[in-house]
Amino acid sequence: MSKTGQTNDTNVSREELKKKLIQELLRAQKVNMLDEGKASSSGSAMNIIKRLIPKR
Amino acid sequence: MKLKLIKLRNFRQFRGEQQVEVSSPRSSASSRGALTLVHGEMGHGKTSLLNAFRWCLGGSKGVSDRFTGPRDIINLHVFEFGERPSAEVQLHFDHGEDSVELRRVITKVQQLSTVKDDHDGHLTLTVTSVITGDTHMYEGYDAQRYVDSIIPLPVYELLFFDGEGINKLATKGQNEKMGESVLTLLGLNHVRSAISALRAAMPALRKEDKDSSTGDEKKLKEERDGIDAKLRDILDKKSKDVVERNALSELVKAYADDLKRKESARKLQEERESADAALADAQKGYNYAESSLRSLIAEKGYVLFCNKLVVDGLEITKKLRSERKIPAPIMTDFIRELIEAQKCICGGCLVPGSPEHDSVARLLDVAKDAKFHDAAASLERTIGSISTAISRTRTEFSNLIDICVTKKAEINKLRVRKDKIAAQLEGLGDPDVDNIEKNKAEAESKLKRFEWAVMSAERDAEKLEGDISDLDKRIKEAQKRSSSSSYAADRVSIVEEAINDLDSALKTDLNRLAPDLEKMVNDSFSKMIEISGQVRVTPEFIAKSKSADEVKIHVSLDTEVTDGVWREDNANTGKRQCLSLAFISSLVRYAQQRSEVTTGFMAEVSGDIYPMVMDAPFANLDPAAKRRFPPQLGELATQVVAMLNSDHYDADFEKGLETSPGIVGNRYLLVHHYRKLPPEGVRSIRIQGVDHSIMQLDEGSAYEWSEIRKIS
Repeated sequence: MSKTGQTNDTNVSREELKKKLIQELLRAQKVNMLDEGKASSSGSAMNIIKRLIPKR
Repeated sequence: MKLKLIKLRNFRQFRGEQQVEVSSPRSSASSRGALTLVHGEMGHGKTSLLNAFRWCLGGSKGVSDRFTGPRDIINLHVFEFGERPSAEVQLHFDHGEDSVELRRVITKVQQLSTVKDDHDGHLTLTVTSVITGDTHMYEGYDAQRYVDSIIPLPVYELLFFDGEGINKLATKGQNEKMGESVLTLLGLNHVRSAISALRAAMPALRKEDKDSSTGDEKKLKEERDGIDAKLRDILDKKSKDVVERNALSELVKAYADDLKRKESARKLQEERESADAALADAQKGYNYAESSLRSLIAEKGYVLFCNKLVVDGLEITKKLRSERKIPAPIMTDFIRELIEAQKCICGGCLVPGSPEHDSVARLLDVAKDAKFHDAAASLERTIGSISTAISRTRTEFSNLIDICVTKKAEINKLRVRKDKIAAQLEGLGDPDVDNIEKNKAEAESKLKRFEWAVMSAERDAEKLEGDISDLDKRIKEAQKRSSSSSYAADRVSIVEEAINDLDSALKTDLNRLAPDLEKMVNDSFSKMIEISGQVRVTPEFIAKSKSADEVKIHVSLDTEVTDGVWREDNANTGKRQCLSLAFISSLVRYAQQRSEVTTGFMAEVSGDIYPMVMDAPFANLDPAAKRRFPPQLGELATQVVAMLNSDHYDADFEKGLETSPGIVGNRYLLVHHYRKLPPEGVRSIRIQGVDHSIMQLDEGSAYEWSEIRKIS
């Protein structure tokens, strides 16, 4: 795969990740699950971010 | 949300189990059957029924302001009719593909408890999927959270309302609260919270990214953090300045409106000022004339009383002359010659010793008296000069009297004019236009300072944002050079993009919302009332601030005063009630439209379908509005539950309702059971030609209670 191709793939994947992040955040908001008071809560924004973009 | 049923047990004055089946939602094609009417008189339980909905949804926090004794939920006579000491409200409704049964119970122990949360009783929620048949149960906090996600407090506060106070909707001090209700109803509060949550996560993400970087990249990120901190400070200050600026801008506008409204007062005030000046002039003229008159009387008053003297003097001199007692000096020598010649001018003889000789000689003696002659001449001169003085003084006196009379008349006329102006000004409210202008000028001056501060902050922020943007490019280049970006850098950039996307979608939505909603409200209001009314929805963007409230909207409901001047407090209660209803129903329709057409991620949070429950919203409508309004009741929302007393539901109202046949689905009557019937009061209500008793005598009963009776 060319370097350009890699960049494109990465872009597509980033776009999807962003969409998923927004979608999950809004869903969590809508069902009142986004509890920012509890950092460890599975619904917290940080945990959604970490789950969707894991360490590598 | 589609309401199906509300069931009460020993809730307030309702004894045992009572229920209202809510008419099915209307279809998009017609409003047939969408309306549930509950007829009841004062004290028979309308407000309790409204609050049964609200209490079930939110507990003690949910009830309305007009719900007296909100802690006394359980029927006071529950022991007397042998029931267990608790009250319960069940609300059954559909939400999306789920059938939901909500049940809130409060026991006597909870009601009497000193722990605040106990006053909410216990909430249980059963959710059954219509498609799969799966059932889930939630209790307590989880159940409440679920309910709040379906219909949050700001939404049912707005839609399940007490009509008596609905005219105060979106009035001063309530505008932002109303803005929050609008954001919540349309689901935009979720977008705002999501942005806020992502922004809150950013510092940790940036730190993680910076810590995982090395070399130039790390340095660049540190530099970026420094600039970002400065930028945050500037934007924080700016956000405060923007709030001040907007408040001042509103204030200046309010002053300008006030001035415009008081333009006629201003003209009157100018007239009054001109009348004041004219009055002062007239008074001055009068005072001068009066003072001159006084001086004239003091100095020359005597001459006014000398007229008789002059007349008498003239009479005396005339008599003296006629008696020839004042002979002319020229006669003296002539008479002497005649005596010496002893001849009269008549040819007779003037013999010495004759009576003629003696008479002429006497005359000659008199004529010889030069002193007498001089005195007589002097008297004549004096009389002449006195006469001239009298004439001059009389003219002067007469002129001064004329001036005094004219000025007095002028003063009286001006005083009458001033009183009239004062009365007109009183009718127009505070006429102190100068004071308003002074306040306006002060507010404008302050506004300029804040505008300058905001502009300056924007300029500084723009420069810093430019610096950050440059640094971001350099960071990206550095990342490229270091072969691949780290997960931490990805998190930062993806979250940044997500914030930007959400932010831009929210702004676009809010900018579209304002004109759309304004149009809907105006259309709806004009169907009810023949005056112009409008909603003003003003989005306020305080972007990129640390504050969680970055986006607000300001809602105000105004009616037109004169061409182009709108005020919140202009219309009477009935008109404001109509305007408020027009606003609520438009909002409900708008939320429904959004739920049907919104695409993209906004569809996740877009508006929902909501019912309306209203207690007596038509008390202050005039007869014409009463006939025009009822057919629209069914169009206010997909389901409307309206509670009416006989003042609201009269012949005019029924006539209005008949113009939209089939609009009413279920009808209920609140029948009150008395130990002894009151001597006065409405005993029955006439509905569609049939009299329905609303008072029932329970002889021997120890208590009174209300019953919900289905009549159709």
